Amino acid sequence: MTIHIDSISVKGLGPISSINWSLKAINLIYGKNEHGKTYLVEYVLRSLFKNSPKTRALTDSGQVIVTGFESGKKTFSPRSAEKIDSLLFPSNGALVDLSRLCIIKEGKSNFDSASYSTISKTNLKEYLSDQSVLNKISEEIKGVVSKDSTIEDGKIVTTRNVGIVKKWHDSTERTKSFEDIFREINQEYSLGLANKARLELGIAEEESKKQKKAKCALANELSEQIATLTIETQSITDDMLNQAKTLINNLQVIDDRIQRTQDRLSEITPNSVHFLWLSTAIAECEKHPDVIIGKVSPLFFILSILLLLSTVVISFFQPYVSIGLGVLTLLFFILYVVQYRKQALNQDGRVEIEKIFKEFEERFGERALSLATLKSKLAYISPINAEIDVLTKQIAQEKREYLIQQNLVKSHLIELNIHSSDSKVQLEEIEKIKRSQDQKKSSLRNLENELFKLGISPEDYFNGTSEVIYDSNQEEKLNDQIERLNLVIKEEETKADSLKRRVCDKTRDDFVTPWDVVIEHLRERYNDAIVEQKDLCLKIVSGIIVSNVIAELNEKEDENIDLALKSPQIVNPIRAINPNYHGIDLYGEEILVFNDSQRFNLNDISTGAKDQILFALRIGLAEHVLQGEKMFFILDDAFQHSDWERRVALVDELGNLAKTGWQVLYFSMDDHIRDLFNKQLAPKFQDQYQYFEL
Amino acid sequence: MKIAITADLHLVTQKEHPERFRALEKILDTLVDQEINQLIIAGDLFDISSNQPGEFEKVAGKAKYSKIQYHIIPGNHDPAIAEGTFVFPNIHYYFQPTITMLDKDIPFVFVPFKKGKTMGEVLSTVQELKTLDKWVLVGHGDWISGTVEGNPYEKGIYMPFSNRDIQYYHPDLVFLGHIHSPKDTPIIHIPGSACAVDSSEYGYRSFLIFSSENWKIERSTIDSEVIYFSEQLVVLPTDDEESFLRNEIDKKIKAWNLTDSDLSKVVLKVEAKGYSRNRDKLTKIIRDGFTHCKFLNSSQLDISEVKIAEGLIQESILKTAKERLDKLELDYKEYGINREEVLLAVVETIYGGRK
Repeated sequence: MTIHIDSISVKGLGPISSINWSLKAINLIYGKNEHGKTYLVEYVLRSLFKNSPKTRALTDSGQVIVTGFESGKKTFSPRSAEKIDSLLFPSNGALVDLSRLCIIKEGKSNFDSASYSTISKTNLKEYLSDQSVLNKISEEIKGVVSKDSTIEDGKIVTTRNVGIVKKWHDSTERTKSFEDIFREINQEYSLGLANKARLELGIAEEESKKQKKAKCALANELSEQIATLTIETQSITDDMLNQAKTLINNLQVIDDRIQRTQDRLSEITPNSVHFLWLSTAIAECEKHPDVIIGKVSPLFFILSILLLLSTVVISFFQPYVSIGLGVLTLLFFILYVVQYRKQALNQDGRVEIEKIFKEFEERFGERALSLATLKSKLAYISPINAEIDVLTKQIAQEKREYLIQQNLVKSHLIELNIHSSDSKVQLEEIEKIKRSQDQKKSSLRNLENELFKLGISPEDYFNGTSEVIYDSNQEEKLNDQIERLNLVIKEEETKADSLKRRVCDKTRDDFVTPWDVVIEHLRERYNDAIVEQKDLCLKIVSGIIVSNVIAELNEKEDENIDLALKSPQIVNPIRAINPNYHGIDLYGEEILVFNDSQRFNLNDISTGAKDQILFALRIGLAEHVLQGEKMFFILDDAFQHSDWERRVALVDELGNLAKTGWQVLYFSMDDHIRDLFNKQLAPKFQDQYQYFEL
Repeated sequence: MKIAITADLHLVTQKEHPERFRALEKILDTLVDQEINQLIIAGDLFDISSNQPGEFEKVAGKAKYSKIQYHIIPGNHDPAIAEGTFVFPNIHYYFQPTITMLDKDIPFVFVPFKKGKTMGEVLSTVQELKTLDKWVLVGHGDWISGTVEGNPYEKGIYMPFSNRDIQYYHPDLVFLGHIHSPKDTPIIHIPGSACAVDSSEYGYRSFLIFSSENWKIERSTIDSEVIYFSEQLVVLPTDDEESFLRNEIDKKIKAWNLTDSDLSKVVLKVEAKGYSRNRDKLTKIIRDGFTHCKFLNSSQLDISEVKIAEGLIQESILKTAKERLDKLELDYKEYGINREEVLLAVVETIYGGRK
């Protein structure tokens, strides 16, 4: 199978109005500047190869027909999806760029030794393969990605944290730190708690103010009560009460004493009631001192009889004694006679006296025997009478004292507002007042304590009505609540400030920037971080994938080149073009050419020989890729920069190439080359040589 | 008893945005069908530019909706609406935090939007919260947990609501307006916008139905006239570039999970990135792929980021790399990336676009 371009037809291609050419084995297309040669080259290349220049707008009208496919002829145009590459290598996407092998552009010719004065393996690969492209792509992938990073079990595994990998890790950390701060905002940012606390604080403070006012009002009220009680307690002192009580008691004592005196008086008064009569009676009796009251006593008479008898008797026995007895009998008899004579002489006095004596008996219930009896009675009554006098005087004196004392008590009791005259009641009242005073004093003490506990200065006392009743528990509760709420607010504000500071650090905002603006900036920065992280991650992942593919292709490339260099397709053209050499080999980075006996560095052989070898190499690689088949070479003024002597040799080489079955299309604007073709090749190839002019 | 919840209707006038009014009517029709008589609108009933409550009343006042009681709180877009705005007695507009027994056993605490305040701050003024046992919060603002994502419709933080508020005030359920993207968590439920206000609000729109009997919440899809989607396509310069792209488009459409009839409602924004060998064909391929969908204008199909691919070897590397990527078991979620992004990165690494 030999693939040749059968024909080219095109209309309205740049300056070319219309061509319709049938091609031969050797084709020279000649055209001066601006005649459309470059248009036509691009048209042919874009029709046939995927990897072709796209620098011009090409006409839709035209086609390039190629023969040699299994299916026969194929028609191509720049718009056709199928190209020769894809038809020849449909499935594997192998590293074959036919256009690079079969198209030799101006100044890129391998025949130009100047370009390859120091050719090496790398140069060879670069020239014959796409190493430069692979290298270029590899250069874009950082070493830490291509060499130290892989994807295992769904994860990106990096062994060195440097370069882009470090950047990615840093970026990931940064993104996470943004997410953390967003989480914190979500968990902490509300402002509701602080606001609620502020509202509650407002209410509590209002209530507290009311309580304070009520407290001041209460203090005022207490102070007034204290003042009242103080006056009340001071207006009735204990001394007053005690004095009143003492006075009442004293009065009672006086009263008791009067009573006792009166009792005594009453007791003794009956005994002295006859004192005056008795005194008078005695005085009356004393007017009759000789009156013998009653009958004369017979005692003296009886005694004188008895003594007379005795004297008589005894005078018989004892004369002397009877004389004594006689005298005595006479004495008694005389006594008797005296008494009897007195009685007879005071008969009138005796009646008066007997009347007195009778009344005495009636008055005293005892018989008065004599004046002595009366006197004895008087002697008995007289002290009593004296006592009565004393007592009477005493009573009078005490009653005066009583009155004085009573007035004193009265005046005291009036001060105490006691109007009862009953001392018992008075004392009870006093006790009552005392109890009341004690109670008031106790109340006063309590009130003073209470006032002291309130701790309000007198200047803060409020003399008015408060909305609430003061309740110390409520006040304490409110104070606790206010303290707690202030704490909550402070905590919340501290938290919010701390959070905002952290956010501002991230956004680089000023602390006074409003929250919503800060959060918006945070979001922007977070999104930037995500974009960066994502971009780096994508670079790493794509780098890993692409570098792996390139590594495999590089390996394959080396294998391909080694195989190709040893294959008949490479060796045969070299032998055919320059029989002095049998093939080429690689030694490290150097390319060696060899024959049966020697090996030479490619750079050490003559320029002509080197050009021949490299051209043969190109043919060989192309045949190798085409598995021995032939195709066509398109040369776009490839020899333009070669000197004239070498141009001759090169044109000859093209003839030789055509002889092996390769089709040659040479585009030129050079008259000398045109002439060389026409001179050297036209005669040799006759009808297989075609000259076109634009 | 069932109670419906929606938010962020952003009504302007019938003339300017008729689709928003029609979305409201769709909700109301559903309510009528399901005999639901309570509708909560959690803020932004109107757009900031609107001062015509009558436009809303024209819809709400229709005879067929006469049984519905509307419970509305102002959002950050409703400052023009003041007390005494609404005429109809079945429209209840809450200007101050209000506790309302929508259901005999469940107190609903309506918290209107207050500029410059957090939800917690406003809730702190509701003394009666302490006395509530099980209650539902209806508010309008940002959920701090969700602020990372932000509200694409408007920048900034509006009346933020945090987990701390949940822990402190213990609402049993929260319905939150303002965020246009719907979201459901065990406690917080964001109904999302009832009608997409721009292409960032993609997919079906929906509203919530709360059942007071079992405290279950369901989403009811709104039969929207317009469904927005925004897609990113990766273009690969392979032999089968076109078929790959078509395949990717098919995958996107499938992922939308729309009915065939709804496909025609899709208004699309596509941004293509990558490398192409046939850049001039891209627009046609993409338009063909999304043939049932509309692009609002030419800028909605952006291929400016698609570069020209050159180099056979690059294509070969890409092909192999893509095969590797297809087989790659990478924990994309952990790294916050997806396969498509990796593919684009691979393409750019190979073709030199990723520096």
